[in-house]
Amino acid sequence: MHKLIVLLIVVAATVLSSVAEARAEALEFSGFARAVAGKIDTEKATYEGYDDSISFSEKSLIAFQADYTFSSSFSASAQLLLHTDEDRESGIEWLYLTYAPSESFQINAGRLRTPFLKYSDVIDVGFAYPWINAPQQLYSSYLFSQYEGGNARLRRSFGDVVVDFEAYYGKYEDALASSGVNVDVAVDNMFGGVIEVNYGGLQLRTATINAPKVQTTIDEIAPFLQGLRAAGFDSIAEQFDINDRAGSFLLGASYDTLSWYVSGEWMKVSSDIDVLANLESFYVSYGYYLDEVLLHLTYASSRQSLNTIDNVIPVGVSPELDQLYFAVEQLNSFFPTDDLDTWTLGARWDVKTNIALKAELSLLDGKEGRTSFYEVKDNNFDRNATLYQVAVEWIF
Amino acid sequence: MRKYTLFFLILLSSRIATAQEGVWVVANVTDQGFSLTKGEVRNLFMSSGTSKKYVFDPVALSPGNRARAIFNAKIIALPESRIQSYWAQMRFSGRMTPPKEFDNLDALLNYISSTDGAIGYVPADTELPNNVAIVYRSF
Repeated sequence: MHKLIVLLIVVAATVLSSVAEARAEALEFSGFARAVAGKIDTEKATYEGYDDSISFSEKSLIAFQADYTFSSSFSASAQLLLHTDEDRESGIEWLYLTYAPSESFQINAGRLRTPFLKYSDVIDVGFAYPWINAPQQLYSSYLFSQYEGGNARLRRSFGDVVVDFEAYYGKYEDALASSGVNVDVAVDNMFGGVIEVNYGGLQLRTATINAPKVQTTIDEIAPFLQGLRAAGFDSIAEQFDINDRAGSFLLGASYDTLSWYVSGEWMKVSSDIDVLANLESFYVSYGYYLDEVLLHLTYASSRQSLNTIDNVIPVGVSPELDQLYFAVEQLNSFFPTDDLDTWTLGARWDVKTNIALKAELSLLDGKEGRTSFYEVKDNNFDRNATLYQVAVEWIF
Repeated sequence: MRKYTLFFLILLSSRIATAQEGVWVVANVTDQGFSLTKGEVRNLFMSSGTSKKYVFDPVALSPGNRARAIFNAKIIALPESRIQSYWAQMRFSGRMTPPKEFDNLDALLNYISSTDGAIGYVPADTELPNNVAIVYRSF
């Protein structure tokens, strides 16, 4: 079935890209697609949806973008994304109006993707970055990936140094699926910004995301929390109420030359929410070009500080209390504790100016007893696995 | 083994050839004494950014043109594949679109000479229309 979807995507893209070539003056079509196949070498867990059989459907996608220019300073853009991942919905990913009175200033309003990490607002455009799977320790964990609101982007030059500023404000709402449980997340006020400094091949970046009040509803655990309160354990129930501040902070640097590059990003996610412990992660990456082939090596690591759930239910008093105690422990273990170190070796071959082939191998070294970005199926799993992926990236 | 040696020799010779050729960055500007630094040219073609008080319209030759390869190597200092992935990032995040591209030198020069503020690059020693001036020379 998934193979069929991938095939349909490729056929649709071929037809639509030829339509795009016959574009009108004011309306421009473009798009991107990726077909990714991968597997991990264990049957005891899944990682990023991958198990020990080859899957094409975890990351394959196609997107169509339409840009309509009303006048020299007003335009509208829409991006439709079709995804084969079961945990992600297909639909309108970007939809916004742009007012750009000059080349160095623009305002956008509508549905936008949150700018944070170097590639976080183009994470679906695999062609834009070297990896197949950008370091998960950062790219899957930086909090709110899109928002409805507005942003302003300003560019200033100081001699040969170009500085970009971006500030945004909006709201976020999403239904996330975590270990098969639906989590509804709503942030009414979210704001942040990015400063990026470019000097020749050197780039320095810093970014923040701030959400003063994150409201989360998990229908599955509501009756249990009610039960805890009824039994007089309000303090425990309160710790599972996710209704507080969260934020992320980023520092990044990269240096690009004609034949090699180095890049790295460090990020910290902090929150006052008890069960969402603080996360610190980073990667460093080196790439070397052998003509059209890029070889790259990346080390990435994340550390999540321990959950501080204070389980005050006494053990050994009665079977009912024991049961409640273990239920709290079990619920606590459902929340992520993502300690993971990875080495990733990859190759990217740009066969044409708009098509790249990639292959990638990642050694995943998680910590026992932690989730480490896995969905663990067998508790004996030692959290070590190898992820193999190949991909075709395409823009049109 | 001989096949590989030959391959590397060809590779090497093509790199030496690129290193010996130069490009001129040329623009349709009224001020004939106007010039740019290498850093300014790079910023103009990668981010439309310049501290100069001119509004420029950068234009490029399509991939596969020799002058483009030399310009990429000497001024942008990035491989073609990195430049393509950079523009994909800029386009699909709604930031910028790449410079307009022309398949050949004549079409590029025609555009520059008929458009105020247009700026592009040509192989060194190209014969230029009267209203097109050299603003940067790379050897």
